[in-house]
Amino acid sequence: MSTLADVTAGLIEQRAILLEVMTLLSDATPLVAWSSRTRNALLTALSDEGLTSSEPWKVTALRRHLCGTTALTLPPRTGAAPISPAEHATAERLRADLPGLVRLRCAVGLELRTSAMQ
Amino acid sequence: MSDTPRLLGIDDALHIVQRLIDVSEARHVAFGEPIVLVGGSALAARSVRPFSENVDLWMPSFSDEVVHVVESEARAQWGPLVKLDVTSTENLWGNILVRDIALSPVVAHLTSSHGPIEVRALSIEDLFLLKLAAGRAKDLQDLSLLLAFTNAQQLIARFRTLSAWHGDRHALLGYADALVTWLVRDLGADPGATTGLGLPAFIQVALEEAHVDPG
Repeated sequence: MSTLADVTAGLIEQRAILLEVMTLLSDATPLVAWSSRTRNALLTALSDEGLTSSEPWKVTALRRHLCGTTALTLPPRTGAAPISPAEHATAERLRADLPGLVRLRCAVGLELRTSAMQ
Repeated sequence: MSDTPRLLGIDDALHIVQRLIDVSEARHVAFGEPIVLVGGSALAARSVRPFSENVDLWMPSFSDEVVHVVESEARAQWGPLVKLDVTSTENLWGNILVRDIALSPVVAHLTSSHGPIEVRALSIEDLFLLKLAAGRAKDLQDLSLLLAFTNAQQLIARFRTLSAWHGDRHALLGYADALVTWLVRDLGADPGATTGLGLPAFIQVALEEAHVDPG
C-alpha cells in the first residue's frame, strides 16, 4: 500500500527528472554528457517495449516531437538492472509532459542512435 | 540546476480555471460547460492528495489558443513544468468513455459575466476505476490512496455503469479481474462480490473460476 508520503516523494522525484531532461534537451547537451539517471529516464520514455493501453501511442508522439520522423534505434540503458516501477512512472511523466515543454525536434542533434553512443 | 517548481494546490488549480474563463470572455471565445476536473486536479479537489502536478480538465468545447495563453501565464507564476491539459473527449485515459462525465459532482463555483460557473470533479469511484483501467505505474500509487475514500459496494456499482462503456470488450475480463483482486485484497470483500459486477455470463464464469473456485 502506498502512503501519501510515498506518492509525494515519487512526484517530486519525477518532476526533478522532468526538469533536468527539459533543461538538457533545451540546451542541446550531448547525450553522452547526461547523468545515467536522466539518460535512462529519456531512453525508457522513448521505448515502447512491454507497454499497453495508451502508452505506446505516447511513445510515438514523444518520438515525433523530439526527433521528427527519423527512425530511432535507441542505445541501451546504463546498467543491467530491470526498469523499476518508479522508473516506469517517471517515463510516463516524461511521455505526458515533455512534448509541451521542449522545442519541436530538439533531440535531432543528439543522435539517439547506437552508433552515437559507441 | 534550479529547484523543482512546487506542486499546485486545489486553490491554484481553480485560479487557473478562472483565468481560462476570464481570457475566453475577454477574447469573446465561447467555451462549453460544465468544466470537470480530472486527473491530479480531481484528486486534489477530493482531498485525496493536497496537490496536483498539472491542471487537467474536461470541457465540451474550448479554444486551444486560450489554453495556450493561460498555460503560459501559469508557468510564469508557478514554474515551467505546469501544464494545462484540456480535453473534450470522454475517454480520459484509455479505452473507457465516461459518457456521463458532465454529471460529475460539483466541487466549486467560479464566476463569469453571465453568472456562476459550476466546476465539477470526477468521483472517487471514477478516478479509481479509470486509473485501474489505465494500469500505468504512476496511477497505481494513487489507487491505494483512493481506496481510503470509498468502499467495495460503491466501486462495484460504478463498475456496472463504466464497464458498458469500455471500448475493448476483450479487455473487460482482465479489467474485472484487476478490480476484484483489489476489492478482495485491499477492501476485504468476499470473492463472491464478482456476481455484483453485472458482467456477461461467460465472463462471470471465468472470473469465478479464478477468484471463487481457484482450485
